Amino acid sequence: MLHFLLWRLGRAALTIALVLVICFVAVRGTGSPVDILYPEDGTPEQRAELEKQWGLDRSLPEQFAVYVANLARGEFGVSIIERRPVIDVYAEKLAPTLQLAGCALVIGIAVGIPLGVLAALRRGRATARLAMALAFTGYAVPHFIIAIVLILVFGYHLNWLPSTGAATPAHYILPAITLALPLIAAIARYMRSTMLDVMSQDYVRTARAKGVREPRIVALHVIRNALLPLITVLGLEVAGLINGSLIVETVFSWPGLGKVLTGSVSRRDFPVLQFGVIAYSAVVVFINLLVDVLYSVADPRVRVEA
Amino acid sequence: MNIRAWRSRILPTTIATLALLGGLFQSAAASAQVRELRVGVASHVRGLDVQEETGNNAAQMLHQIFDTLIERDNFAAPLKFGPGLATSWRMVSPTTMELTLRDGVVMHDGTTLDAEDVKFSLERVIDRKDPRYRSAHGRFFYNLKGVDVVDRLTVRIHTHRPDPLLETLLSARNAGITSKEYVQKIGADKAALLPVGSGPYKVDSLRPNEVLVLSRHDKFWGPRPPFERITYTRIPEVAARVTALVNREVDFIVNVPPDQEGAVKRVKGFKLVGAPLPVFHIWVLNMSHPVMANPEFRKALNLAVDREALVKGLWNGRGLAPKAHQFKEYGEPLFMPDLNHYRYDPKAAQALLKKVGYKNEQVTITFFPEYYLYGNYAAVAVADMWKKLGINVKIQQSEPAFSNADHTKVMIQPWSNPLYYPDPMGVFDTHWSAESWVTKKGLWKPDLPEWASTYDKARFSTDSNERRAAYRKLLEMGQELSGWIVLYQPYESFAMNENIEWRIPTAQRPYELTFRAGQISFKAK
Amino acid sequence: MTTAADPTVSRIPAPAPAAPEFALRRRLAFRRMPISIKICSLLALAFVFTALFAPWLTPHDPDATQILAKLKPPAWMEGGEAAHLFGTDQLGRDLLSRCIYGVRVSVGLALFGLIVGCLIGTTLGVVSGLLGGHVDRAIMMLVDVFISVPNLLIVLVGIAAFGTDIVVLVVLIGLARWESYARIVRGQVLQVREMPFIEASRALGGSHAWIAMRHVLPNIAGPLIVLLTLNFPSILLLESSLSFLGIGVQPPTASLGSMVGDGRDHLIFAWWVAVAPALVIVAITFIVQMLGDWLRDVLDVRVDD
Repeated sequence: MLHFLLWRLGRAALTIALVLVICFVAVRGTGSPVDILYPEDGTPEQRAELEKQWGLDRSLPEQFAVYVANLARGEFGVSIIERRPVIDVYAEKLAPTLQLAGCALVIGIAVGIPLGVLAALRRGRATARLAMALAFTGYAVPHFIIAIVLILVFGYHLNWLPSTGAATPAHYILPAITLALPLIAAIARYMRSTMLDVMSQDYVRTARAKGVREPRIVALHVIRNALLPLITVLGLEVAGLINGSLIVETVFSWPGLGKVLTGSVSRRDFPVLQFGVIAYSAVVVFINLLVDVLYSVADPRVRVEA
Repeated sequence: MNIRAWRSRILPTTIATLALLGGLFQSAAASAQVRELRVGVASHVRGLDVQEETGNNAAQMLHQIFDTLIERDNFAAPLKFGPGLATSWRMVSPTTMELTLRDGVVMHDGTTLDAEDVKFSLERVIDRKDPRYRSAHGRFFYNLKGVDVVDRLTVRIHTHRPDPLLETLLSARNAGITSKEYVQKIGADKAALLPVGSGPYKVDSLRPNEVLVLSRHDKFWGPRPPFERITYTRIPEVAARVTALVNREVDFIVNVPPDQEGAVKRVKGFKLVGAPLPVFHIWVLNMSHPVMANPEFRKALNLAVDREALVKGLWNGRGLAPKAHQFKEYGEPLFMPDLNHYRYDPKAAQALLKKVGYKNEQVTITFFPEYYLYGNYAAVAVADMWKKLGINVKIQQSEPAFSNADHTKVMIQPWSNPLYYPDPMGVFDTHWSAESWVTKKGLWKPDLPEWASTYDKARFSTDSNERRAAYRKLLEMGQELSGWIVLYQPYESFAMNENIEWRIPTAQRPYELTFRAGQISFKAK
Repeated sequence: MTTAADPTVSRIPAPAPAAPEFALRRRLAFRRMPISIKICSLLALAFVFTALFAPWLTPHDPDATQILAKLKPPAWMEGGEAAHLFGTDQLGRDLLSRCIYGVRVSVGLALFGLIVGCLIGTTLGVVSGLLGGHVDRAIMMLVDVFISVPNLLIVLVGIAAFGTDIVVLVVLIGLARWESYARIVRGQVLQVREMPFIEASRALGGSHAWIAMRHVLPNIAGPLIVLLTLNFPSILLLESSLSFLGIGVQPPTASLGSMVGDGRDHLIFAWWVAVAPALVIVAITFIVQMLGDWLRDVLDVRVDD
């Protein structure tokens, strides 16, 4: 077990390091922040001075070495646009994003799994079809349209729920639902197909033949066995969740990272973008690591083969 | 789990929870009604350095926080000036103004305003050392030479040349005064995030591009402002902004596009305040580009733009189709109602195209997606007008930075010409001077022999008749050169609770919001 | 790195190599399809037809503006005109015509994007699976890296660097999902590789490339097709996300995503501007999904979406 864990940790660290290198090089291919900050003016000397100030005048390997050395000291750089430490920017905005994503994940699991189970158990019937069709709609309609329609219905027309910011628990409802809809669809679909798989397995048939009552079979064998592979899928879905939050947060004026990340690209705020990408990939890598470990605990074959 | 369970238990529970949370939210919204103004803005700021932020976004906030030496009447045209941080001022020589400062003005950091603060605030722009103040320098203060401290409450401001616009410039919000002690202690970077002025509201907190909280400055020298708190929240999506107002999450929103006004009108308890702003949405025709080099060709493009149709179609008839590059906000005589430069005449355009021997060269319209409202639609609509004359048009979407990297390749790019102060030079000198980037990069090449001398008279002449004549001539020459296409003046609509009384301050720069005592009030219900 | 360390891959059962080809073909025959699939495939054909013959199908020029007749409601509503079945948009352009062209552009973009992603992913997956060793490890590392960066950010950075040319969009959209093909294909290759007939052909002196072409590709075709149908919706949505951020397909070209993006401001009063293209997106996604599910059953493959 320890061997597996160490090996897996090493791979995770390497992944993040690679993300860092690729991101560092790629963002520098997108132009200079000088053009964004002072778009209409600036002599070549002034440009050069600014680039020197931001350390962008050095060679790429040099810049990278400086950046990594600073990282090692726990310094993540200063935002070129906001002129304050990158860490301050993220400290302010990380929590709202994680809270929102967390809520969406909980909703996604709480609704998606029963929906999938329902669809599998009542396969072919109208209720199951309806449930899956609903789930599917959440998957096929762009995030921002769902968001705006929810705002218009529950905010503009009904005045039931707030539409902007994160001031009260009520503020979480609409954005969390928006973000959760595609997740519900994915989980329900997946749950349904694994359930159907498991239900055709020998041990379920055996149990049924032995006269075990149907609800007990479903609870004891089918759902339990179908849940296991779902863990892996969840790991991947979390990545998609944060992807979606980039847009959902903008529509709901959510005080999170969404606008910071997309804005850092359009403004060429390299330190902010770099840190965001690394932090994001660290979260994803960590979750996948967790999933693998959980999986290996549940299914020891994985460990042996590793 | 089966469908019956879903129906009988889960669904009602969910609805009950939603309703409960909704109820909580509504009571919270109702209790937040006391003496607070909550503003929903379309775009926010990354900082509030009064000398640095010359853009439209900061204009929404700076007026509340910073005082200027000389203040303006918000509505008078031509401008009327009154005391601000200076109680009196006079010219001691043609290039020197002496101002007496108000005594006992307590700034937001607790220090008292003195001549050193004035010198510090203005000279960091004049000395041109810090690139962040370049915009303010080029736009407003390039004629300032220096500031002398005479005594604690007396300063002298020197100009390079006698300046007929000195009071106008000193009453622009970007001439606001900050605290020298404060900025020098914590540095300009941090000061921008928690700025210190002497205005009626002070900054409690600023989360860049997200929310700004102002609270009343109890030691303000002037009349007590109407609110204890003002918050500015960024709500970029139109539907969300309108909903936030109707939902009573905010009291005041900006930028309701004309075809969304109905969404506010149909709900009781809210009203709209709007007007065509003194801003031109324009396209710069790159005079250095080979295809654009011929003035006759540029004139043809100009003649083929149906501005009335754009205003009717895009702006529901609410914007303005201007007749010349001038605004009525100057007041007459500088505003000249008889000028009629911008005509729509496709036949004349066609004839000009024939004359210049247009051979299907591609004309590319570049536009920046989030630059201004309807910019993308204007590009598509005008392209269609040009296509009808047989011009080969392409539309190119781009980021501002892209075109900037290589200006010479861009043929037509969008720009806006706001009236920074109500004087012809407030739009002309701030955009088309020899110092402007369009001139420096060769997009704008006023190569007529009389241009420079006429320009000089229009900017610096102290004889107002001579200034007017020179300005008229400038506009006529500008029309000859046709280096730009004025599309229209946009219409800006603000929506608010119906008990709020507020007017757009026509003597300030566009997008400036004014929430001081006497500028906004509540009507008793 | 081994197969098993990547549970998503390890749980894909082997395709049915024993199934004789003619049997498969029979199962795919039109008359054997369930009625719902028959309808879906006909509709899919109709959409492809629409995309291919858009210029002959549209009642109006999709880009012709009529700004004084903007936001006209659909024909069946009050104030609607028979000439504009779906109504008109913000610039008075005919929505039906734009939807038809939008299908052409968006489906085209998505298809080419899929092909790009699939080609890159499949090639790397096959190489990874066949060669194994360091090459395999390096490629799988790259997969890990791609999974852990938000797709949208990759596309944003790409556009910031290369502009919004349609070719750039296709490549970036394709790149956004390449790793899913690589993983699946590699898993399949690893399984097929162990089968006796591959051993045999290697013993007979077959080169790697030849083995891949001859034996592996036909065996992974099934899972690939299924995966393509699964990825299709997310690619369509990616295009609309880009339009929301103002960096998608260039105007005046109609794409479904940009139409929805532009129409979102009008949902209160002129909902049809956004709803018409959104419904088309839903319809296309639904059809592709149904066909994908059906293929998955018929070809007997399991792919984790």
